[in-house]
Amino acid sequence: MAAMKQADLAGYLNFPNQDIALRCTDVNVDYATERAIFDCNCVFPKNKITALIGPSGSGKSTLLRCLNRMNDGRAQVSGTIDYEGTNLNDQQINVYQLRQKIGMLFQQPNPFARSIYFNLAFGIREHQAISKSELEQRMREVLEMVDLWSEISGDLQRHANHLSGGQQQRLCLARTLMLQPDILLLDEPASALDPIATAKIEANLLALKKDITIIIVTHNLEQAARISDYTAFFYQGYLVEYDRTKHLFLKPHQKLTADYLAGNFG
Amino acid sequence: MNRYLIDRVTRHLIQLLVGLVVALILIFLGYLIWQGRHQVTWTFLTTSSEVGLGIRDQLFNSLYLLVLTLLLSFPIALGSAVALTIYAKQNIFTRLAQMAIEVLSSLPSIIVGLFGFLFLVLKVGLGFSVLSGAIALTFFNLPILTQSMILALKNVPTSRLEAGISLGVSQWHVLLKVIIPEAIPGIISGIVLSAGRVFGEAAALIYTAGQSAPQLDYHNWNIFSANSFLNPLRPAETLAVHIWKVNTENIGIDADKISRGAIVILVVVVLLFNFLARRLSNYLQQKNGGR
Ligand SMILES: Nc1ncnc2c1ncn2[C@@H]1O[C@H](COP(=O)(O)OP(=O)(O)OP(=O)(O)O)[C@@H](O)[C@H]1O
Ligand SMILES: [Mg+2]
Repeated sequence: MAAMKQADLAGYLNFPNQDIALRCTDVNVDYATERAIFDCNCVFPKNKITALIGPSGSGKSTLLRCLNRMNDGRAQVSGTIDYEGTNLNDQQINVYQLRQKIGMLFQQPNPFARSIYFNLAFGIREHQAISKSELEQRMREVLEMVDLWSEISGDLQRHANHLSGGQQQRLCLARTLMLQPDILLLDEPASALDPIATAKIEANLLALKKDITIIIVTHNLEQAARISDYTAFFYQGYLVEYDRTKHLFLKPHQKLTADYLAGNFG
Repeated sequence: MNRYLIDRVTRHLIQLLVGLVVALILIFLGYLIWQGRHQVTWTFLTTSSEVGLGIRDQLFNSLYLLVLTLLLSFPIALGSAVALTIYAKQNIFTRLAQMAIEVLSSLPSIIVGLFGFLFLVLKVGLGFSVLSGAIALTFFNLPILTQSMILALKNVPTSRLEAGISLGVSQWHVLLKVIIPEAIPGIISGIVLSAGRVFGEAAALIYTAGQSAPQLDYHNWNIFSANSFLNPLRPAETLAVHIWKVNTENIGIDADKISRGAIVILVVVVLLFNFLARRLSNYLQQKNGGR
């Protein structure tokens, strides 16, 4: 199965480096009991949205978590992941700085059970001295980016638990934006939300794209088709096909991809 | 019989049993308090047992021992709870620690007391003292305190840890600034509930803190002075031990009066702790959890 991917990837792997935010070369991931990613080679273009799709257990989350070292202590990751000229999979890398630059959003909204203010201030206060006025200025900016500022009528002291699920997820998005990341990793960020809340998150992501590279895992194929520029299809730990979203959805090259898109297997 | 009827019958049966238990407790506590109601006077609370019919020093000793015990056991319990819930993966070491906690919590307190006597009092040479008592009580208190803190920490969703780490914050700081603050209501109610147990404990103290309560000088702040109330190396009979002693030594008609009064104080203080634990954790939960 390892052989089939090369044909479809060749063109993209030759993308010039200045257009690439992250480049994975021969990435393998091993959990204690099994290998979850096999020889993954792929690129994530700058200021684009790349969707990772594939059936449950195909290794999407596993690969995503490699990209900001969230697999540390969970799985053994080998291979190189190029980020701005360095291999972020190198053990010497400062993971705390790295995770500020490469933020992550999870499936379940996970705000801290405190005020909106605490949620937004927490990360940034750990990393830099910032004046109160500058801090609040930035809070306002990120809350406006995720369209939450008006919904909470500017009340930063409101308790995060008092927000709806969709609002909580957007607060979590704002929380990572406080750190002004280059790259955002999202693991099924809308799968716990209703269609309206989902649409809001999608609109936010499309707007953020001009500054940030976005990589999103999703089970929702329409969502992938709606918002992503590139799509990677995973199956049983292998990257089976990678292409522009349009091409991959309209004219998949692999039979596996076609079957998956047609809903022929779960 | 139809299902509806069975359901109703069982529900009433359960209500009846619960009512019975509550009634039993109320009768029991009510009886104790009623018995001693005339004994509890201001003089009783403020006279030394050396010179009159009072429990002043025993009451203070109980509180002093409680504070020292909590000072000793709180950091250890929190540390082990954190280690067992957040850091450690399931392995031989954590299973061993869990087992140790369970064994320790089912150890009869008289055994803890005898260990304290043989090791702390004799071997280490601390003598019958506040310190010996506090260390023995720490052994007695540690298991349940640790268990309750583990519970409090486990109630905080692990997704918080992941969220904090993904913001580039170290695990340690997330723990300190997010996880532990969120667990505080549970931690506090654990402390206060264990305080009630410690306050009422006698068996572990008889041979460690001793059975004598020398008259204390509450103006003497020199902790090395023999009659200073703060001296940790003086013998310190507590309220619970005092009740046990007056009853076993049976020093006549006064014994009855003293123990009745002391029991009232003991019961009231323990009830107060329980009540406080509830109020405090409810209050903090509301403030913190925003529910
Ligand atoms: N912590 C872990 N320990 C051991 N194996 C794991 C662990 N996490 C995931 N796996 C295994 O790795 C494989 C890939 O899992 P992963 O979570 O990456 O899949 P996924 O594509 O994200 O699936 P889903 O769509 O259900 O989220 C699966 O076979 C899974 O059983
Ligand atoms: Mg997943």
